[in-house]
Amino acid sequence: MGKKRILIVEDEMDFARMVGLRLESIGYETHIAGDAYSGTREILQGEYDLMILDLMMPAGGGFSILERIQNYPAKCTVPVVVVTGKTIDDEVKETSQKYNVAAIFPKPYDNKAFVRKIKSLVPP
Amino acid sequence: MGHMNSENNMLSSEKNKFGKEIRVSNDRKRRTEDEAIEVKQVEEMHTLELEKTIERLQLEIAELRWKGEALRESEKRFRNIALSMVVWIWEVDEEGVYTYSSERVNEILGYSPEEVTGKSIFDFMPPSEARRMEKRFKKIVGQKEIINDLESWNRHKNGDRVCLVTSGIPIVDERGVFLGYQGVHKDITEQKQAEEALREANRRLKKFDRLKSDFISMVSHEIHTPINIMREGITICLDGLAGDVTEMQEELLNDTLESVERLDRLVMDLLDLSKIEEGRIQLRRNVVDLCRIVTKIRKDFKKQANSKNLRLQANIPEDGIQMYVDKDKIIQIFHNLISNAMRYTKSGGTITLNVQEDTAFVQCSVSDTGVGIAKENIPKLFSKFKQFGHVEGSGYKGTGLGLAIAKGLVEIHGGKIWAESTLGKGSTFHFSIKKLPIPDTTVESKDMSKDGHLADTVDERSSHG
Repeated sequence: MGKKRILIVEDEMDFARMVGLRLESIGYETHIAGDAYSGTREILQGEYDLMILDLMMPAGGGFSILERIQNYPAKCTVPVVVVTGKTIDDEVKETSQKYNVAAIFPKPYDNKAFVRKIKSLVPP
Repeated sequence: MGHMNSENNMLSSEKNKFGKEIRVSNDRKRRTEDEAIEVKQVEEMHTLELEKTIERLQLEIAELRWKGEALRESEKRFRNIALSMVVWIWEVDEEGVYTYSSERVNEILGYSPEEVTGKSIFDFMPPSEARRMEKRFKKIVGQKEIINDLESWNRHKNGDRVCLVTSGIPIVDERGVFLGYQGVHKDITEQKQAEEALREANRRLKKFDRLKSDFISMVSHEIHTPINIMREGITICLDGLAGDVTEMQEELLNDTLESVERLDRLVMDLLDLSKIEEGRIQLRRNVVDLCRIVTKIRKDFKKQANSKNLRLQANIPEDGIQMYVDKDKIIQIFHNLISNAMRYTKSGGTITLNVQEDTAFVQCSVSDTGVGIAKENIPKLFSKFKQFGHVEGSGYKGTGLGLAIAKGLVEIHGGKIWAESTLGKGSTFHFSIKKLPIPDTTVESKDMSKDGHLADTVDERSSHG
């Protein structure tokens, strides 16, 4: 069996690369999508075990991806971890619940807790 | 004697005759005199009557003249009042046609009273307003209602818009027949324009405020993005994910990371303070147990206290204290005060957290056995960018905003914050939080997601205070 695949949807390439580096160091395979459009395309066409999602991005926010994949039940089961610099207000919480988001990490977050959460959702 | 007698007789007869004549004449004379007296009496009576009539007439004339004068006087008084009044006094018939107008109309609408009289009140309004007001007027006339502060837009002779506020009462004659209305128009255009200007200013202020908030959150995002990348990059190197790290490199990376954290704190604090100062902080109150929060805070700081060889103790009621507060803000207050205490307390010192319930407030305090604050500096403690005292190796540097933020957060919770200190002995920062009635519904459940994990992860934000 190959490595578990994680899709990182994040417009800050440097940050995405570093998150990827960290996750690859513990045995995952990562792929980066730089905006909501390519994020949607990737999650629909590729095979991923988990998606890390930024909320504030060009071409529609992170939630727009979740909305678009609602018509594809197979894709809706992929666990989603939101990582955002946005304030976690009630609206973000409610939308996250609506789309079954597994966890929200506000930036800056504790790397150990982050890694722990990813591992618990999809063991490498 | 006989002769004498006859003579006498004759004489007497003559005398008699004469006497008779005299008598008759006398009678006539008397009668005439009587008549004359009678006439005179009648005349006198008539004269008297006439005099009385004249007197009465004179009185009546005098009264009439007096009444006339009084009327003129009252008319004059009324006219003077009408002239001196800022309001425009008018009378209209049942159709709303002016039957009287005071001079003031000149200043208000630019027309003379003569120009106005005979015209309808609706003739001076723009068409749509006239239609609206005609409906209102018909209803008012139908009910013979008192007109009370009725506002309408009118056109000045020069075309300007004039807002009038109208009050009036129905005119009814002595037989109870309704004749129209009398009352006053008052020009409130300036007031209306001021109100409009105020509303406009308010709209612009709100727009500006929104722009500023948008700007601040944009700046916040833009600053945080590079900070997060720096932090992530340094952490990856420190974790050895980019290859082996020498001891020297590790030290430099740790120093850099500390500066990055400080920059991040400064940005966060500035944003928080600007929100507090602009009153933009919205409390998200929930029902929480304050004692549990303080226990958790103590646990969070334990490691940091141990590393500095500080004792961190807490005196809190065992039963817990249910409060309706913004949990995150309360944590931030304690966080800022404890960070402060740690910064100014030497190794081996003690920091004590106290929580006590009062009737209206919960009293909290953070005490240390640190360097203390000079008396003259105590009043300046809660100002921005004021830092007093220095302790060697006191860990991370403060932003100079922590106490100002704590003060703001305490105050929006309806409490007070103050400090006591003795130089060389230590300081105590007290604050009170107002107790609000606990809502019936369990609001806390809203904060926790159904399966709990959302709320959990939110708390895992790395410390920034």
